[in-house]
Amino acid sequence: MLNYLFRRLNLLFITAFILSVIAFILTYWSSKNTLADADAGYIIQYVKYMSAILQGEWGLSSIDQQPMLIKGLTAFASTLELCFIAFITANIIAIPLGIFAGLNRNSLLDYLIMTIALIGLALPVFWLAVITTMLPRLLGIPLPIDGGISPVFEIPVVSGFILLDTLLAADTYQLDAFFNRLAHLILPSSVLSLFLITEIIRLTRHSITMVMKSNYVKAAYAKGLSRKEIVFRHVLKNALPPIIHQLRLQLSTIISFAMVIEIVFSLQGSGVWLLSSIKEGDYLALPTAILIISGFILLSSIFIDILLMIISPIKRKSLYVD
Amino acid sequence: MLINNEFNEEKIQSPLQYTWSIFKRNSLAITAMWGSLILILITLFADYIVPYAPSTQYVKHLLLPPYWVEGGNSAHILGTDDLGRDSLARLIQGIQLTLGGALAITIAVSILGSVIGATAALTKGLKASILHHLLDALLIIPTLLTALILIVMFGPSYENSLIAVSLSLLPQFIRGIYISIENELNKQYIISLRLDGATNVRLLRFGIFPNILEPIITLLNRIFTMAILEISTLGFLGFGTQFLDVELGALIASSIVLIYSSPWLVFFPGLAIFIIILVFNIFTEGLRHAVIEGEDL
Amino acid sequence: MRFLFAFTITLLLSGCYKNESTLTDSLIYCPENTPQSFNPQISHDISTLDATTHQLYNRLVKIDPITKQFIPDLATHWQQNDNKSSYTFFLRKDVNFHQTDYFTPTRFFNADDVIFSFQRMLDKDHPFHSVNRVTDSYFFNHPFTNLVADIIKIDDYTVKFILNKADVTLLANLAAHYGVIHSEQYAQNLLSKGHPERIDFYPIGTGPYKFKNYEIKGITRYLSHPQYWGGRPTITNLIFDVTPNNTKRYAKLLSGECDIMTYPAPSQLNTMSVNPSVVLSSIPTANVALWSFNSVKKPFKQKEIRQALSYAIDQKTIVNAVFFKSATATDTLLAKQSWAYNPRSAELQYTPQLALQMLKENGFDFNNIITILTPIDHSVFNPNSHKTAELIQANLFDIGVSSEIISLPHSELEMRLASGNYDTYLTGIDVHIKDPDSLFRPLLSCDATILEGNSSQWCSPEVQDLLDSTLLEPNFIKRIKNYYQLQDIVQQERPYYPIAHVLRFDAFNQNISGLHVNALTGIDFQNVRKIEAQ
Repeated sequence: MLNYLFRRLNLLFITAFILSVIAFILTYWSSKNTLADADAGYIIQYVKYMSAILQGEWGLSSIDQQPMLIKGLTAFASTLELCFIAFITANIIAIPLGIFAGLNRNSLLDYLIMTIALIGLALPVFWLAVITTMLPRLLGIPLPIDGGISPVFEIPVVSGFILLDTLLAADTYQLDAFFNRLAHLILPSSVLSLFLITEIIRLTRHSITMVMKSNYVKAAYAKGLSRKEIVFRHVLKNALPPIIHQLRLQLSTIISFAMVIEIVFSLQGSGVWLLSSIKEGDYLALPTAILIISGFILLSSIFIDILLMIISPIKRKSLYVD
Repeated sequence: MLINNEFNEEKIQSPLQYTWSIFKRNSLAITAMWGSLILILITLFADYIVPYAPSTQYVKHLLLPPYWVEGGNSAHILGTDDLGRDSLARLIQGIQLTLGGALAITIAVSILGSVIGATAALTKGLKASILHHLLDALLIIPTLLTALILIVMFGPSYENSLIAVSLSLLPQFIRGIYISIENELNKQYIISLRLDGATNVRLLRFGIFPNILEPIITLLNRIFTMAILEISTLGFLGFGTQFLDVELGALIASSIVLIYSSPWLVFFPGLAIFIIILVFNIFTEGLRHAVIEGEDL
Repeated sequence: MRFLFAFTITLLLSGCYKNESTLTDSLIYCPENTPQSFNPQISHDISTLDATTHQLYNRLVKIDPITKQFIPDLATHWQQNDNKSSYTFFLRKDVNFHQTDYFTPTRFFNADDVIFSFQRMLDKDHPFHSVNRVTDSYFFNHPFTNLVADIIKIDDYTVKFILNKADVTLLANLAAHYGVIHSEQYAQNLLSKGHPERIDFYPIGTGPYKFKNYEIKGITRYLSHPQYWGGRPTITNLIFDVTPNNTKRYAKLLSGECDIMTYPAPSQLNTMSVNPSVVLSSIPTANVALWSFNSVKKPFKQKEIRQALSYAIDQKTIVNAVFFKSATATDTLLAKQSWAYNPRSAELQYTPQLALQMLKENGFDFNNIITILTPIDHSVFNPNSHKTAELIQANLFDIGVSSEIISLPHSELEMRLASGNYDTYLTGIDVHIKDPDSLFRPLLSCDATILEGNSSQWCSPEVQDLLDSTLLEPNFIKRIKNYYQLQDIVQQERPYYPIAHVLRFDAFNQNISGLHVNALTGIDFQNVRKIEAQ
C-alpha cells in the first residue's frame, strides 16, 4: 500500500518535472528575443524559471498586462464548469442506458443504443456545435447561443466558476444572473455531453458484460439469487470502478472537446483564451495552459488512482499510466 | 493430415482465410469495407473524378442549392458556393485532403510507433524508464493543445497541421503497442520461444504480432478516428489549409457565414466527416470481431 | 423517459431565464470590433467612432442629418469675419461633464476645455501632445495643423479660431468626429496624478452617456449621463457587446441577445429584409473599395496597361458576389451624392476583348505574374478582400494574364506596402469628412505616403496643383470646376480602379426606435427608445 503510494507520488514528481521542462522550453522559445540573461546556462535559467513559477510569477500577458496565472486559471475554471455540467448530465443519461444495454446484450434495444453511441462518436464535435447554434431558431426555443453570460450582468470574478460567482452576486441580481448563466451553458454542455454519453455507454456496457461473465455472478445465480438482486448487489459494485478508470484516461480528450465547443459558442474559457492569445501573438499563454491544464489532469489522475486503489486492490501493481 | 484436393471444403484454411470467411458473414461489415475502399479510391483519384476544377468559379451560378432543391441545377449536383465554385468538387477535394491526411498519419504513426513501442517493450532499464516517463507527461497534455503548440511553432499550413496531429497522436500509439506487447511477453509461450533462442525480431514477428492483432486493429482505428477529427478541427480553427485548397473542417468554417442562405454548404462537409468515421469504424469493428472469433477457435 | 426528464428540466430552466429583450432600460449593441481607444481624436476606425463620438462627447457644431446644414452643438452660435480667416464661437452655458468613479468635475464646460481639446493636436509642446504615441498616426493632428493658426479665449464662453489663411473647411472639420471636446479639468487632474495616458482610455466628456467600464473580452458598458444638457436618455445601461462573427451577430439579434447589430454579412441581407421582426437601416457612405495599380512599377507605369486591366474586370459580378446589396458598383472615386461629383465621368465597360487588344498593342509581357496584395482580414470597405482577389484573378486569367494573390496580416502587409514591392493592391479608403479633398488628397497627393492611402504612389504636378489650389479657392463654382477637371484626369490615368461605394447597414429589432446612424461620425444612441418585445 505505502509502496504503491510512494510510486504514484514519484510518478507525479517526475511527470510534473517533465511538464515544467516542456513549459520552460516553450517560454524560452516564445520570449527568445527578450530574455534578460541569455548567456547564462540552460540549467540556471530553468532554476530561475521554476522559482518564479513557484512564487506565482507566471509573467504578464502582452495583450492587457494582466498576470498570466490569473487569466489562465479564470479561463480554465470556466472550462471546468462546462465539463462538470456536461459530465453530470451525461452520467444521468448514459449509465442507466449502458447498464441496460450490457444486461440485455444483442437485444433490439441494445443495438439501438449502440447505434446511437456509434453515431455520437462519429459526429465531429465542432460541426455538431455549429449545427446546435442553429437549433434555438429552428425550434423556436429562446436559448442563448453566444457568450458565457449576458453582458447585462456584471459579475465580479471571485472563484472563476461563474455559476458560483453569480450566486455570490445574488445581492445585486437575485437569481437572474445564475439562471442566465445556466441557460448559456445548456447548449454547449449538451454537445459535450453527447460525446460523453456515447463514451460512457460503451464503457458501461463493456464493463457490465465482463462482470456478468465472471464466476462470482455465476455462483450467485447458483445460489438462487434473482437477477435484480445480483445486478444491484454484485454487478454494479464491480462494474463501476473500471468505468471511472477508463474515463480518467479520456480526461484530456474531454477538455480538448470542451475547448473547441467554447470556441464555437464564444463561451469564455480556455479555448477562447488560447485562440485569441495565439491570434494576438501572446504565446506565453501556451506554457501557462500546459502547466494549468496538464497539471490539473495529472493531479486528478493521481487522485482517481488512489481512490481506485482503495476500492480495488488489483491496480496496485501497475507502474505507469495506462 | 491427408489433403484431398478434390474436396475443397476439407482443405485447411490459413488463419487469414479463416478470418476472412468469418468476416464475410457480417454483411454490414462487408458493406462498410466496400465503403472504405470507395472512399480511399476517391482520395487517390480525386483529381480525375471531380466534375469541375474545385477552384473554378461559375460566376453565373452563385449559391446554387443542391439540384433536388427548388432552383437547383443538375450541372452542379450539390450546388455551388458564394463564388460559384462547385460544391461537389470542393467536397471531393476536402475528402481527399482530410481522409488522405488521416491515412498518411495513421501509416506514419503506426510504423514509427511500432518501432519505438516494440523497442521499449523489449528493453529494460534506464532508457525505457525515461521513455515511459516522457510518454506519461506527453499523454497528459490534451492533443488539441499539443497540436496548437506545434502549429504555432511551425506556422499554419496543411503539411504542418499533419505533422502536428501525428506528433500529438504518437504517444498514444506507442503506449498502446507497449502495453499489448508487454501483456504478451509475460505469457508462457513467449518464454518457451525465448528459451528456444529466438531473436527479438523473430519473437515479435512470429510470436507476439499474430497474437496482438486485435488490440492493434482497435488502436489503428482509434488513431485514424482521432486523426480525422483533429485535422478537421485544426482546419476549422484556421490552422490547416490556407485559402485555395480546402480541407473539410476549413470548408465548414468558411461556409458558416452562409449558414442562413445556404445551410447545405455547412451540412455536407460535416456529413462527409461523419460518414468517413462511421464507415471505417464499422469496418474495423467487423474485422476485430472476425479476428477474435478466429482466435477463439 | 430520461430524455423527457432532461427536456423538462431544460424547459423549466428556460422559464427562469429572462431574455435581454425584456429589459427596457438596457440596450445591447453588437458591433464588429473593439474600439482602439475611447478618443476619436486619436483613433479613426469606425468601431471607435461608434463607441465614442455621439455617446461620450459633443462637438462645437454638428451637421443636421436632414438639411445637411451646420447646427449648434456646444457652440450656440458663431460668426466669421469677412475674409473667412477667423471664426468666433459662443459657447453653451451650464453644460456638465460626466461624473464617474474616477473623476468628479467641479465646474461647468467653458472655453478652457475647447482650447485644451484643440491645442493637444496643434501645440507640439502641449503636455498631452504625444501621450499614447498618438503622433505616430498621420491623421492625428493633420486636419488642423495647416488650418488653424491659433485659438484665443475671449472670455469663459467665447473662443476665436484664427486660421492660417481663408479656408472654408473649418466648420466641416469641427463637425467631424475628431472635433470632440474633452475636459481640461480632468486632464489637469490626470497630469497631477501622473497618469496622462488614461485620458484616452477612461474618457470624460459631455455626451449623453458616460463610460462605466470595459472588459477585455469586448464588453463596454455606459451609463446614462443624468445631467446631460440635451435631456437624459431613456436608456440607462448602454452595453456594447463585441461579436466579430456576423452569423453570430445576426443569431443574437434574432434571439434578443442584441438589440442592434452592425454590419450584417452581405449574404444575410436578403433573409433579413424579408424578416418582419427586423428593421434594416442603410445609409450610403463615401467609403470606396479600390484596386490600386502601383504606378511607379513596371508594367503599371504605362497608362494603357492600367486602362486595359480596368476593362478586364467584371465589376458587376464582383459586387454581386462579394458585396451582394451592401454596396453600389461605381465608376468613380467620388460618391454620387457628393457636390463635386462629375456626372459626365467616362463609364467603365467590361470588355475583355478590348483589354486583351490593348495589352498586346502595348507590349505587355504575358509571362509576367502580377501580384495582387490583399489584407487577410476584412475591412469597412471590403467584406471579403480575398474573395474579391479571387474573382479578379479569374478575370485576369480569362485574358491570359497570370496573377498571384498575396494575403497578409496587418503588420506584414504594412511592411510589404512600405517596401513598394507589389504590382496591385486591393484596398479602399474611408472618408472622415464631407469635403472631397479628404478623399482625393490621401489617394493622389505627392505628399501622401503609401500607408496614408496613396498605394498607387501617384504623383503628378498637374493633380497636385489642382488639389492645392482648390483647397484655398473661395469661389464655390470654381472649386466644383476644379474637381470636375481632377476627376477627368483620374478617369484617364486610372491609378485606381474603383470597385464599389459601400453602404453602411445596421439592423435592429422592432422594439427599438429613434436610432440614428451617421455615415461619417458613427452611430448615435441619444434618442433611442426600447419597448418590451412581444
